[in-house]
Amino acid sequence: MPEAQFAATRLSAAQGVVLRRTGSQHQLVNTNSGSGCILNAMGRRIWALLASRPTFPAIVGCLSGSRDHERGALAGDAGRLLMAWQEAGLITWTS
Amino acid sequence: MPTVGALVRDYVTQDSVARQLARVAEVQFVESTAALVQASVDGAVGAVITELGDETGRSVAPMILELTARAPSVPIVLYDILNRPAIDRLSEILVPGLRIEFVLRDAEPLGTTVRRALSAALPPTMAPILIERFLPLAPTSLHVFLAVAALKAPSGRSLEHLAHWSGVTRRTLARRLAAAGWQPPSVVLQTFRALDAVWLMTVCGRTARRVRELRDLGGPSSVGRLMRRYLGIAPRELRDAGGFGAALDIAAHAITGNHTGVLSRVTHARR
Repeated sequence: MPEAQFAATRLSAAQGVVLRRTGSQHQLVNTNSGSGCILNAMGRRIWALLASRPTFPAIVGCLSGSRDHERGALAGDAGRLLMAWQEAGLITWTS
Repeated sequence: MPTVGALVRDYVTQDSVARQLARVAEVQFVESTAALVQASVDGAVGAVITELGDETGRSVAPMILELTARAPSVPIVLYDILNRPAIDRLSEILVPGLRIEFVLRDAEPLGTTVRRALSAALPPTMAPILIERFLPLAPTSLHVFLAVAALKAPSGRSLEHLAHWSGVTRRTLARRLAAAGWQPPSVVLQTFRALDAVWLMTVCGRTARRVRELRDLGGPSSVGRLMRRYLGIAPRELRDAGGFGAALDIAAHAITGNHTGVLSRVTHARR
C-alpha cells in the first residue's frame, strides 16, 4: 500500500475559483471556465473549511459538531453539494 | 439472490470473495470506481465491496463521497488488511453516521457482514469517532489494536481474536496498555461496546432491547449492566448526562486512567 499512491484524499478549491459577494449573496465563480454556483449557508461553511484542505469525513465532522444524530443526513447533503461543485470544476481532490 | 458490486484488484482475492459470498449474493466484479458508482446509481447492486485503494492504487475516498451523494442507500463494505498506513487511509474514508463497515481481509468472514448490509441491518458506523478520539491519546504501538477494537467491538469478537488481528498476543497487549497507563484490554473492549450501545440508543434511536438483540448481548439487563459498569450511567440517564458526547468523554477519561474528574462531573449533573 504505497503512501504516494493514496495522495488525493483531500478537497480544495480549484485553480481560478473565487468567491464573489453581491449584497448578501455569495457566489463561487471559476474564472477560467465561467461556471459558478450560488452558495447557501452550508455552502458558505464548507467553502470556508476548504482553506485547510480537509478530508470529506473532516468536513462532515466540522458541520455536525456534537450533533451526532445528524451526521448521516449532513454527510448526504454535503456530499451532494461537493459533487455539484466538483462537476462544475469548482473544487479538486488534492494531497 | 441479490447482487453486490465488488472492486477487488487481484484474482486471488476475487476468488476468495466469490467463494465467501456464494450463498449470499451474486458478485459483479468491476474494473473501476466509475463502474461501481454507476452500478450503485442504477440500482444494479444492493451493496458494494471495495478495498481501500482503487484500480490504480489511489484512495477510494473520492468514490465514497460520490456514493454518499449519488447512491446514499447503498451500504459500503470496505474489505482490506489493517495496518498503520491503512488506519491513516481509513480516517480519510470512513464517515461517521454512514452505513459503512470494515471487514478484515484474510481474517474475518465477509458473508456475515454482506448479508447484514443487504438486509438493511447495518447501523451507521461509530468507529471513526472512536479512532479519531482514542488514537491520539495512545502510543503508536497501540494504534492497530485500538483501530481493530473500534471497528470490531460491536461484533462481539473475543479479545483473543482482536489481539491476533492486531498482530500481538493478549499478554503483549496488556503489557503495552499498562505501560501507557491505560486500563486492561478487556476493559477497553467492553468500554467500546458500551459506547456502541450508547451510539445505537442515542444516535440511531434503538431501544435497549433492540440493542441487546442486534449485538447479541445476553440477558434482559445486559445493556444497562454494560453501560453502568463501564460508563457509570444507566440507559435512562443518558439524555440528562449529555448523550453520546458525554459518554465518549467518560470513556476517554476512564480507560486512559484519568477518570475521577469526569465521573464526578457526570454524577453532579445527574443530581
